[in-house]
Amino acid sequence: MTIQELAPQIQAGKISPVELTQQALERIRRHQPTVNAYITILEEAALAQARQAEREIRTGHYRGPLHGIPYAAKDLFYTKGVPTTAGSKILKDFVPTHDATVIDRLREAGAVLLGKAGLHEFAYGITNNNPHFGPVRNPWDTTRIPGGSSGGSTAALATDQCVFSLGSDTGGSVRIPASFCGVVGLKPTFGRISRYGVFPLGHTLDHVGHFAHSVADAATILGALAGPDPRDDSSASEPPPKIDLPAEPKLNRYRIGLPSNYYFDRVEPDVARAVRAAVEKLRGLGAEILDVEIPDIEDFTVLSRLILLPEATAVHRQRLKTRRADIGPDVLALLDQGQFVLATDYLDAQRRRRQLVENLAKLLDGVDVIVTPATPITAPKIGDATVDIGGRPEDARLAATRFVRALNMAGVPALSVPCGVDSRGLPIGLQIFGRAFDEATVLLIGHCFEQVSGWNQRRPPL
Amino acid sequence: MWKTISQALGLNIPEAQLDALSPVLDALWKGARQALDRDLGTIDPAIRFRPDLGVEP
Repeated sequence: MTIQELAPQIQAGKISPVELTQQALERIRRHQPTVNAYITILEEAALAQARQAEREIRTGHYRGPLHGIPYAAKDLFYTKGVPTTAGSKILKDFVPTHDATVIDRLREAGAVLLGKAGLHEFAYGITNNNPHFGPVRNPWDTTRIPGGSSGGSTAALATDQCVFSLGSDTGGSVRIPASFCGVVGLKPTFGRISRYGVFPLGHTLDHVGHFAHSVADAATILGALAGPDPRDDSSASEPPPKIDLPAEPKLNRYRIGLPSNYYFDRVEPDVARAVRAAVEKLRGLGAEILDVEIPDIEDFTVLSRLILLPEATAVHRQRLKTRRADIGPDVLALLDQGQFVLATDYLDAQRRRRQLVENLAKLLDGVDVIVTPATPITAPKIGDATVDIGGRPEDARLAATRFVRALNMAGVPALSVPCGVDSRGLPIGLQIFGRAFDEATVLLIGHCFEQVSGWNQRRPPL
Repeated sequence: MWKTISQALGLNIPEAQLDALSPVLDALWKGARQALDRDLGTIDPAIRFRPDLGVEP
C-alpha cells in the first residue's frame, strides 16, 4: 500500500502502526534470504517506535502522513547507536554518535525505521554486487542486479519490505535502481535535502533522494525531508516546496521537451519504445511536446566522471593507502583512477559545469520539464561487466549512468517513474527533470503520467 | 605513461592493477582533453565554501 492509502487509515485508528511494522518485518524475514535488501534489521527498535506512534495517535497526537509508516534507510545515513557500514568491510563496526538530519526529520515525522538497506560498497557503483555483504538481488529476476548504488532501498520497496526508503544519488544512484526495480525515485535539487550525517562519495555531486510506490508518496516524503539545515554546507535556504498534485490528470498548460540528440542513441529498443509510448501518454493528457537539443551533453557525461573520480578518491585517500586489501576490486579501480586526475582538469570541469547549468536553464525557459529514458538498458545479470546494446558491447556501469550523471552536475531535480517493461518483464524508467527547485512541476508531470499509465502498481512475482 | 606517474607519485598500485587501469585512463584522458579544450579562465569553478561551518563530529 502507499502512504496516501495508509495515512488516513492510520490517523483514523483503522490500521495499527505496530501491525504494519510487524507485517513489514515478516516480509523482510521472508525475502532477506533471496533478495538480501538489508544489512541491518532493527526489529526491536522498529517495534518500539511503532508502539510509540500508536500511543501518540490514539491520544490525539497525530504528527502527519508519515506517522507510523515503516521505512528503510540506505546504510550510509548515520544512525545514532546503529552500525552504518556504507557497504564497506572497513566500516562494518562503525557506530555513529549522531543521526543524519534526514533520520532526525523522519523521526520527528513519526516514521518507523525498519533497518539499514544494502548498497554498493561506499555507494561507488551501480551493481550492488557487494563483496562484503553479498549481492542485493533484483526482485523481478533474482539473477539480475537491482541497480545501485541504492539497490537495497529499491529491492526492499519493490517487495513491500518497507513503505518507502531513503537513498543517495551522486551519478544516478537513485534513478538507476528506481528504473531497474520499477519504483518511483526522486533526486531533488542539489541543496534541497540536507546531507549532514550522510557518508560522502563526491562532495559537489552527492544528493539525498528517496523511493516510493507513487509520485504522490514521493511528494509527501520530500515535504518531510526538505528545508534548510545550518549544519550542511550545501544546504539551500529555500523552504520545502509546496506541491499540489491534481486529482484529475491534465497537462494542457504544460510544455514537455523531448531530446532530439543523445538520449535515444544506443538504447535498447524496448526502452526506446516504452519511453516514446510514455511521451504519447503525456501528449494525450494535453501536454505540448517539443523537440529540444541539449548542447554538449556527451561532454558533460565525461566531465562528471572527471569531477567524481578525484572527489571520491579524496574521501577515501587514507583507506586507499592503508586498507587496499579490504576494498572490493571494482571500487578500488575507481579510487585508483581518481589519483590520476589533474587538479587543473578537475577545476576546468567545475568551470564547464556552470555552462551546463546555463544551457539547461535556457532550455528549461522554453519547456517545463524534459523527459528521457532513465537508463538505456534494463537490469543486467549479476556479474555482467558489459551489456550488449544493438550488437555493440558497452561497459555496464557507463551504460547505466549515461543518461543520469550529467544531472548531478547540473543539480536539477530528476525523477524516475516506471513506464513499461521489456520483453523479459523487467521494469523501464522514464526520467523527468526540470528547473532547479521546481520539484513541484517534475512531480506533477510524473503524477499525471502515473494516473493514466498505472505502471507503478505492478509488483514483482516474489 | 600511467606507470611512470604512479611510480613518481609513489601510489603503490600493483602492476597488474595498473595494466588493467591503463586503457580506462587513456579513454578518460582523451575524452577529457576534448571536453576541456576551450578557454574557461574567467569562469568561477562551481565549488561552494561557507566560512561559518566547522567539521562534522
